[in-house]
Amino acid sequence: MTHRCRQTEVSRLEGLTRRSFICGAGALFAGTMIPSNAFALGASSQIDLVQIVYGGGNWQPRPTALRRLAWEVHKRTAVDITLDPSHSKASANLLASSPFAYLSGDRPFTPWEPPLQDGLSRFLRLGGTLVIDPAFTPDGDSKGFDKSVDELISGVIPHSSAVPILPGHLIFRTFYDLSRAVGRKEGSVGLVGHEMGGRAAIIRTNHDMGGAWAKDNLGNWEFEVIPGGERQRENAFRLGVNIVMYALCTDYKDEEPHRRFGQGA
Amino acid sequence: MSGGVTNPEVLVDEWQIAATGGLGHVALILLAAAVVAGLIWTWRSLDPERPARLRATIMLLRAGALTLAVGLVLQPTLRIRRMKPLPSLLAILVDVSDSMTRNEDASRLTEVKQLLKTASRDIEKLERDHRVSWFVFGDHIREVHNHLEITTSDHPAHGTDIHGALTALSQMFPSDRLSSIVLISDGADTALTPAPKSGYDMEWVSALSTPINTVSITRAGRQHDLSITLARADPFAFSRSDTPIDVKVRSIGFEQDEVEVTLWQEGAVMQRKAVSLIGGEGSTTFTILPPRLGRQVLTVSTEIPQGDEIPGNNTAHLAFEVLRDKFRILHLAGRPSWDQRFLRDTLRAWPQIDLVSFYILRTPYQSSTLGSAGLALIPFPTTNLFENHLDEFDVVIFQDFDPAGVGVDRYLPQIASFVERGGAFVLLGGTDGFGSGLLSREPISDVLPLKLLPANTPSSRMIDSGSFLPRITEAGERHPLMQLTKDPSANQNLWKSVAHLDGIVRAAGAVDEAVVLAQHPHLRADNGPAPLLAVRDVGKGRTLAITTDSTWRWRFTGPMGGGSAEVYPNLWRRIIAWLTHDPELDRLRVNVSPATVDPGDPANIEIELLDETYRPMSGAKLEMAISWLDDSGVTQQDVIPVRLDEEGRFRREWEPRLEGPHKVRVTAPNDLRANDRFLVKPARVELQHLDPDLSFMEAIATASGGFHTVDTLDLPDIGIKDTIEQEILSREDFPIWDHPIPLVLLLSMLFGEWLLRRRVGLR
Repeated sequence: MTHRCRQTEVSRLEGLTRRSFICGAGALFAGTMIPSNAFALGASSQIDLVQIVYGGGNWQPRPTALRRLAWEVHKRTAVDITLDPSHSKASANLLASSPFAYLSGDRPFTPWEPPLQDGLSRFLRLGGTLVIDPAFTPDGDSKGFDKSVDELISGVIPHSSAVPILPGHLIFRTFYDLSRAVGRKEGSVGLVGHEMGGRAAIIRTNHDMGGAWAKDNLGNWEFEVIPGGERQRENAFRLGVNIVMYALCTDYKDEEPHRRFGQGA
Repeated sequence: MSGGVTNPEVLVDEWQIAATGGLGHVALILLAAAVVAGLIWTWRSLDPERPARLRATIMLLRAGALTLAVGLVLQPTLRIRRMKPLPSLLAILVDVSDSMTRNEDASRLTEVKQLLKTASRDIEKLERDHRVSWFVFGDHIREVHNHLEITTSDHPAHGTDIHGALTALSQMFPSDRLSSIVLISDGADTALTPAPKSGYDMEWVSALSTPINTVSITRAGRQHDLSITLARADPFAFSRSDTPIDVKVRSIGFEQDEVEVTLWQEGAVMQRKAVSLIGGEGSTTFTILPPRLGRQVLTVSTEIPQGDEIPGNNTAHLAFEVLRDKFRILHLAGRPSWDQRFLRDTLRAWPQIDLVSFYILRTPYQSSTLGSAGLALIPFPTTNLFENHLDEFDVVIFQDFDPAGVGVDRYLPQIASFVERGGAFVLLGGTDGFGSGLLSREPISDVLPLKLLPANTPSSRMIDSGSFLPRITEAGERHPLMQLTKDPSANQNLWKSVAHLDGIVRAAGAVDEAVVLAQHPHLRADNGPAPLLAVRDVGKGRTLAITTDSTWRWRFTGPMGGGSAEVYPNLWRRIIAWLTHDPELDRLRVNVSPATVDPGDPANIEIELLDETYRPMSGAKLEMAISWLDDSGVTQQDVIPVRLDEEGRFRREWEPRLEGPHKVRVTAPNDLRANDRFLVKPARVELQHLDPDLSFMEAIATASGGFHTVDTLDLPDIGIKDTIEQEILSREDFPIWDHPIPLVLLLSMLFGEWLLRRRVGLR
């Protein structure tokens, strides 16, 4: 099987020599069966997708979503990830354990106290990535959640304005090539971001991605995707994987020498 | 009072009234005051009721008497002087600098002597009619008795300073005494370079107020010289960047239309180029990639054709500093992680770093089982990187990277060789690198600072997951890599305040040649505390290992709790600087100043040596070799034993014996080497300024009101200013006061006033 995959790649990659392909591409991209020696050295070695706990509202409308995303990241990528993501209040000390945070909800929430806003602000300035994913629940108020988020962001990074993250952006090609954003709902084509230091430090969806990822302990998807089809759910996972990869690799895919060497230049 | 009558035979009679009483200024002032006071007193003593005519008469008599009395005291004399105008004072300056005297029999000075010989009658007449002073000059001026004494034998000139010579002349003959100057020179002024493009500033010539008649000596049409007129590079060049070196050549008197120019470094040919000559001139640009950092001294030369009158200007040297443009770093990570992310952020934020990254995003198992549909991944360019481009990098980083996974294991010998040749290799923890077993094998293991555990080591033996605060070793406290601030105590406190690390991958221990800078506070390796950060010098390169993958906490977790966010980026800047042999962090340093030494001046050499733990090596004995090429192109060397002082330093001056490039190489124990280069300027700067400058000579003449001629000496036509100096032939004084009449007049006036006062009843 390995051999067949290598041949397939050779036919796809123009400009590569047979030798370079066999030495490089075959080893990584098409793959070999060499097992990994990796063992996490400590808690800091693993990626933890921390869900933020806040007062009022509903901080965890899709309780199984992040665990499922973590599993998919573990299954599909080389990232050493905690399979049981933690949750934490947005204080500086609690957010210090992981530079990745996930904020979800389906209704308005209590405005954050200044110390919590300061903690989140420092988290973002020091390199943290915050993913905000509203859940569209039957009894929820997603617009109310969005309004609370707007107020939170204006308090955390007062002079930042939202910028569209459209297909073609790094987030759509950090691991998978994606043509648009999808979640449980199809939503808009792109995402929205707030940039700090040349990267999207805050990534906002309006697709209820957690709803697409959520899976119960018996292995059943908890929510139907709309308009439907497993392709949509798969793409929701792919976008989730890409977002995690973006938090870890930032602009790696846009590195010019990286692309040049990769093309055998 | 003065006046005069001019005699047609140029004799002048001049008369004047002079006071010979010998009174000083103070006495004169007192005398005048006394006269005025006397008159006022007289006027006030007269009764205003008296007729005005009477009072006026008395005042006139008193004023007349006082005037005569003053005249007698001053002793006025009529002085008659007979004077004769002096002949005009002329100065003739002859340039005897190197450009005038090169090529002896066919020199420009020989031409000058021939012109003077031809004009001997004019000179005789000039010396009859005028007072003529002869001078020779180069970089300074000297008077000679006559034109027959014009020689350079006792007057070595290392330059031509026409402005200086004329200024010195004006100081010798102040107050417009000079009537004319004749300047004979090629105009090749070394003090004036580079020649201005928009005309010469001639205000200083006008200020001399003397006509300067310039005679340009060119030997046009009779010169044979192939020369390099320009060899220039920017003072600073960048490594791995094309560096242009501009060269201009000129051929005078030869018929060739092409010349070969060669660029040399330390006696070895770097490049050759054929330069086409159009109108006797040609230019070319060599483009080089500077072979090393630091000071470079290159030589440009042409062939020396038969009959070349000035072979010395067929070679030129140039010195420039090569700076590091960018550090090129190859960053290979075995998996996306926070450690990889924050190292990437740090390296990317430093504009001096050119980062090439390859991260393994999928394990080989995932690649083989999940297919590749929809992926945005590119293959790992193992062959391209390691066979074609490895030497382009300064630093190769393996971060939690198993080289076997992508076929890099086949290139581990090349990486070891890369280090031996001067590259740097960094191994960062995670078990994928330290635990793969491949890096514990020769030859890569021979360059690592740590001895790694074998591949089959159980994870329980290889990993300790506990949280810990690293302990900085004694060597680490001195090592430049660990100096995050300049203040040692602040540095210590900074290291104590960093965030705890999570987990360590254990090595068998540090190799003997390594220096451990930080270690685990209590875990042990086979030969001591478990190393956390260790470094090693290997051949010309360096290696470094960090046995944890949680240093990212110093960039994120620590600062989230209020710690410094600069510890991590500062540490990595120091790491990169040390790995890439930043001279500031070298243990053995040699520095020569200035980079370009003037002829006759010494070169200042400073050496500093630190031991492996960066303590000064006081009293250490080193060897210093200074080498240069002699006139025959043979390398000469001066070997000087060096003994360092208590601070591990050595300073001395060294006097160069020849011009041109010099190299200082210092060898220390443990085969440490350092070198520096410097250039000794040609003693004869004239060699670079041999071209006659007619426009400069003409500008001097025009600005001063003189005449300019080329290769001809028309002494009868030179401009001479009207003379103003005169010689006093005789002087006669005729005393006016020494006669009875003034005395009688004085007495008469006094008696008349006394008589008048008695008649009208005044006292």
